Amino acid sequence: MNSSAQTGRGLAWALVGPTLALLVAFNIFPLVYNIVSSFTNAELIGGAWRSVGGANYARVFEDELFAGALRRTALFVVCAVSVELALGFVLALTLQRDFKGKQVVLTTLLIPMMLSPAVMGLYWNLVLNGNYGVVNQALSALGFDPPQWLTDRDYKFWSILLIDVWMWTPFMMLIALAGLNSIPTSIYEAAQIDRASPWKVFTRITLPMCAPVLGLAVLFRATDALKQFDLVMAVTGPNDAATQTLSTLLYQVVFRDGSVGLGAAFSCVILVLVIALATVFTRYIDRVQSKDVNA
Amino acid sequence: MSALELRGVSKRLGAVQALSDVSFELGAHEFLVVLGPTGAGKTTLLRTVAGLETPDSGVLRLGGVDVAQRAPAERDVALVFQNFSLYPSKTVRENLAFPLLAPGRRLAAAEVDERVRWAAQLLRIERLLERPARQLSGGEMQRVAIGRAIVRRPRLFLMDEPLTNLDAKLREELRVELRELARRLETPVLWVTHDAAEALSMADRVAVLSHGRILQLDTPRTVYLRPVSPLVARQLGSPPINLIEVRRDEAGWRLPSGEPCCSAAGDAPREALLGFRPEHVRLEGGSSDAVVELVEHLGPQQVVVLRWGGATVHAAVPSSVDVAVHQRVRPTVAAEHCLVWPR
Repeated sequence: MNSSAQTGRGLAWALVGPTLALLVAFNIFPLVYNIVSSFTNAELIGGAWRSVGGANYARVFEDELFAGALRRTALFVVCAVSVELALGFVLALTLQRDFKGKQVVLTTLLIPMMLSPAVMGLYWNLVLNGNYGVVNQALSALGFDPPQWLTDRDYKFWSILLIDVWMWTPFMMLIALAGLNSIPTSIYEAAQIDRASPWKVFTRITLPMCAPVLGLAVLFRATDALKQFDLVMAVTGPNDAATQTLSTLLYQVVFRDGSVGLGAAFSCVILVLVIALATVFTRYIDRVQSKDVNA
Repeated sequence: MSALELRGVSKRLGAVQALSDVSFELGAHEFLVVLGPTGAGKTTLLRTVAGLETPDSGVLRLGGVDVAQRAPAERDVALVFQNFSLYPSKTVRENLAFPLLAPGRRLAAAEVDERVRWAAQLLRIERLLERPARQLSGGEMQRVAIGRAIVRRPRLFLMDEPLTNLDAKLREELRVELRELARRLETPVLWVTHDAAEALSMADRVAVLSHGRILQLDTPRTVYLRPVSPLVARQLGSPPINLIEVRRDEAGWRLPSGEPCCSAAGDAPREALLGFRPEHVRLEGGSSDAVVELVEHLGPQQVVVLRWGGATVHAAVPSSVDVAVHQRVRPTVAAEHCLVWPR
């Protein structure tokens, strides 16, 4: 090996080294540490670790809490994303035309998206409060018997879903609007001259030409909804059987119960699920790219 | 009865008077080319005929029926866009069949199939039928776009610079092909372009449009040889027509610095704008000197730029003529080739 190749190699290491070190320190090491601890009885405070073999994993799959959180998270993702998609798309269709005050309406609609989820959670705590919340006061005034939105077992989950929809529908709308605006007007004009019915224009032009970008939006929102944590924390706290998601369950097990070993096993299982979803995600993105969305 | 008739059609788009008092008739089998630079109102004219714009005033008749206020779908015209406007996710077959599946048309599936096959054959795109539109080349896309227009056998074709986005060779090929196609379909065509060569080679008649007004409407030959104004003259021909300010005395037209240029009729105005085409300039036989400033070879002919009597003059002469930069020549133009506009 000559010396210039050696300098080249040294330079390469010098450039990659810091990143590599950070990666090992903050990604690889925690991952390995997590996997190792998932086979132990590690506790947050004190106690020597002892291997317990696959006992933690056995508990994960037996634990009704985990199954419940998984089911609830899945339900949350499906409901939140589909409602947000439908509402966002309808909003985008309505807002596509130019009208007076469009900018004001758009800006107003985008505000929820700009705010922190924790703040939103607290804000909605006030709005939906069973005793003095605006909603219930209005309902009482109208003669209804208002439910306890945030404390009733049957309502809490749906209230959080409602808040999420309120926060993220604008995001869907924005993406859908971008998709709609990317369709050349001449295609609509061609269809107009071709005597296409409005329904046909929608199903044959608008929808298919928006689909790739909407698909991406769905994926973004789905991964986000899967991590649902802040709203649950702000509205009900992590240890509520009716609203516990995977993220809040993990938080509860590790940081409140202190069961690091069990929590590690939980998170390993979640990791496998996330990897499976990420594969679907990247496949979809590859497909969209190879199809050249803008053609 | 004319296929299309416009009487005093005007249209304002924002601050721009896109069309003002446009009147013409399109014959039953006529190929009419509207020629004009960008912003002349060509596209607005087509969109108005198609029904995508409503004229502010004037009469617009299709087959004798006033349609100025009717929706595009009721007009039974086909518009081919410059950017093709295919449905990208659909196959060529689906793109071609789309206009036939419109409500109220109620064609049997076999008939739709038949017409798609007919159009594909005519445009030689049969092998592309199952291909998604987004995978086609520009020329193929434009064929499909034209196919989509012909499948439903409209009463009138509107073509918005359909060849502009194609490369030069393909453009010339399609020019001939489309001209032939229009003849075979016996359907009138209103074609807009900014390309004078396209207009001259394809049209039965050419309408020269500028700032929303039709300046001249006549056969390509007449528009080229007898333009009604310098503005029209300048839009046709490459290299462009020579336009020189001249004065007349008993010897004929004199160039700006006084040299004689060519003979003039006795009743001609004393001061005029003289127009003559480069191909009508001869380099020998004149009575005053000019200097060759530049020679540009174009294959069959060469363009010679002359400094002649204080004016710059383009001459197009056969490549066989021997001429070099700085050479002195004695150019002349026959009086019958001169166009005279009083100043």
